[in-house]
Amino acid sequence: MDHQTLTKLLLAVPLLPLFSATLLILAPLFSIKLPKQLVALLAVGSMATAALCTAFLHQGLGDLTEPVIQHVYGTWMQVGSFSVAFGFHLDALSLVMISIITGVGTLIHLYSVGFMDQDKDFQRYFAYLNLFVAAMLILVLADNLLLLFLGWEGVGLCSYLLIGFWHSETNNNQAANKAFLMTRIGDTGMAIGMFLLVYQFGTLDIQQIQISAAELWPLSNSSAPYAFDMVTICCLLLLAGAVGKSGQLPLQSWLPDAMAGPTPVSALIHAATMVTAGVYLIARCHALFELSPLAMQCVAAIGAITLFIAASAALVQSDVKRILAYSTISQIGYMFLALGAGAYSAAVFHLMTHAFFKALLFLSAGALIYCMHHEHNIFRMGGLRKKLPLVWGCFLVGCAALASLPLMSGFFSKELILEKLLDNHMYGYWVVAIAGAFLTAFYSFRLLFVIFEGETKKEPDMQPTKTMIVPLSVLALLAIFGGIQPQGLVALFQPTAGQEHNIGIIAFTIAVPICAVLFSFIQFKRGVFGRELKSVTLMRVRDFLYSGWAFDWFYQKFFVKPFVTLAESNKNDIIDQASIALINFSRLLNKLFSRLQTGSLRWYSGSLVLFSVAALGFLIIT
Amino acid sequence: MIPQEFVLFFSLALFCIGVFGVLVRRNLLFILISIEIMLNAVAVLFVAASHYHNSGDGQIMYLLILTLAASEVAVGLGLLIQMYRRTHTLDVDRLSSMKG
Repeated sequence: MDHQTLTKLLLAVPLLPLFSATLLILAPLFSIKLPKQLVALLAVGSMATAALCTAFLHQGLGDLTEPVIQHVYGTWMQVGSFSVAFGFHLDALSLVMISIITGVGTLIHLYSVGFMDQDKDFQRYFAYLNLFVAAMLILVLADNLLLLFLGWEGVGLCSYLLIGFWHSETNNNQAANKAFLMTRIGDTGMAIGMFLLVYQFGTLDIQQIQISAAELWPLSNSSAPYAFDMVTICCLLLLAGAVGKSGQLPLQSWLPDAMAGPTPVSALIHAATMVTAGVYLIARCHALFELSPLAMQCVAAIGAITLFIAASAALVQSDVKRILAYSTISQIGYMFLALGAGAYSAAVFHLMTHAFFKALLFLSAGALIYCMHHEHNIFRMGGLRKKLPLVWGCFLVGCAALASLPLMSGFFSKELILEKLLDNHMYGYWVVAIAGAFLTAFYSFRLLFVIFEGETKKEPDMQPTKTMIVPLSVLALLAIFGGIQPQGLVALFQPTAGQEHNIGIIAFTIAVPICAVLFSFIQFKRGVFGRELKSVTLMRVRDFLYSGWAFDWFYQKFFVKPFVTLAESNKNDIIDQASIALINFSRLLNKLFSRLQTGSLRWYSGSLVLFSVAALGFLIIT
Repeated sequence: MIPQEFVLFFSLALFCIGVFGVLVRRNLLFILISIEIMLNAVAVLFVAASHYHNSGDGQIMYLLILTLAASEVAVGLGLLIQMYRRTHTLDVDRLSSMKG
């Protein structure tokens, strides 16, 4: 394939879902009623074609001598000397991303056909979902930060629309608002960061910025490696956007609430693709971040703290989707930790395997919820292994990959991250990561045991449909074997020579999740999970963890409440009080003077005469 | 030859009578007549001053005042008649609906 064909294929990848979304949105406006099969065909077909194009791109990119396609399709805007191009940049990183988005996206679209079959807003659902995929593809393919930001905001919008998809319930709308507003906080930071970059370099082209930045801010001032300079500010502002989008500390609390949306949406947006956009952003701008050791430390610290907090919060949840949401936050914490350690390929590799096994877990949770008649609480399930063997199998694979049991996909990526941490002598972070791995394995198998073992509490009233089984099986295979070929990824970034590690340490990291699983099994056998707690202290700890370390309470108390109080006290507009006082004063004068207007003519003439005499007398006397 | 002071005092007396009339009368017609008296007091003063200064300006002024008075009465009486038709009274103490 020549270069021209490749660029055309590249353009087709985001345009196909966009075309389908446009059709699905416009059809009701012209009151054209599309049959359900056609909607499904359009949505899934466009995705499948995009996935096919991606496969061709894989092939084509491998044939090129330098595996990068950079093509400018036109100028988006031109203001003075500042211009923004509409250009795509495809390299190994974005190729991995579009493969995940189109591949997992196609499977989730197919699954949705079965899952949303009974929903009356079938068409609206697929319009949003296709629009999301288009925006996400633009995000990862953009060659400049503004086009990336367009996709960034596009996915934010679709996330908002899909969280609040069942908009007749107030809770869902509130969750959607929360997600939108909290990510907007980060996006504001990111926008300011972009302004700073334009101010510094006069361009938003990502490659150009990274080249210029390395010249402008050489990493030579080793006397103060943690200086708070311009590059650090830019990186921290970009990091703010990444933190908001990826649900990291301190903007993580929207993600568990975002589970109000349909489950395939949680799988696609809030597990596999959108929430990893922050990881992608940092990996994309890694040359910029490397110039600021302080920013790198921040990334690692945020990742480490988040992964631990979220993993501990997942220990006590009872809603199956909330457990998975917290585990998503925790796993993205691992990716941030890897990014902070400079192991971009490890982070992106974990992103990929996570997309597989977390999408699998969410979709099988969706199948579970579908079969159990919208039951979310894991403690009202139990003993479903025999009743829903397929869902059980998928859950088992997903949990094993999440727990990074040996030879599953999650195992390779997480081991790689742990290894890189040791390579970079970040032992403190390594300990946190190991503790997180223990907790992860523990809560994922707690989930599995509570739902599928023990005695049956509720009978499933349905079995998953065929359109759900196919994506589940494919994802299960990916979750098992997805960790096998990371060569393309490692080639992307300069590979650092891996040191030889003590065999004991490697054995230890492998043993930790297995021990956690065994521990979880013992605790399950003892009936610890779901038991009423007797001690008040333990209950307090449980409630604290259950609320996700009480971040919502904190924000409510320190941000929402003061703001509401301020807004309420300002209900009558303090600034307007000055002009209102002026109005009141002139009204008072009016009342006073209108007393003089008695309406009696003789009174007027009398006062006229009196005044004239007085004035005359005054003139005569002086 | 009448002395100047006489004319001055006569004019003043006329003016005060006019003012007094405006202040004490209740009937709008009489108030108008009192205003006419005040105008005439001023006119007399003009004529006397013109004689004193030996110039014709004051007498021309008198003619102007005469015209003014005539037109004022014409308008005033017209309004008066309208007023009477509407309210059937010319008592200014009862015509006090225009108050603040």
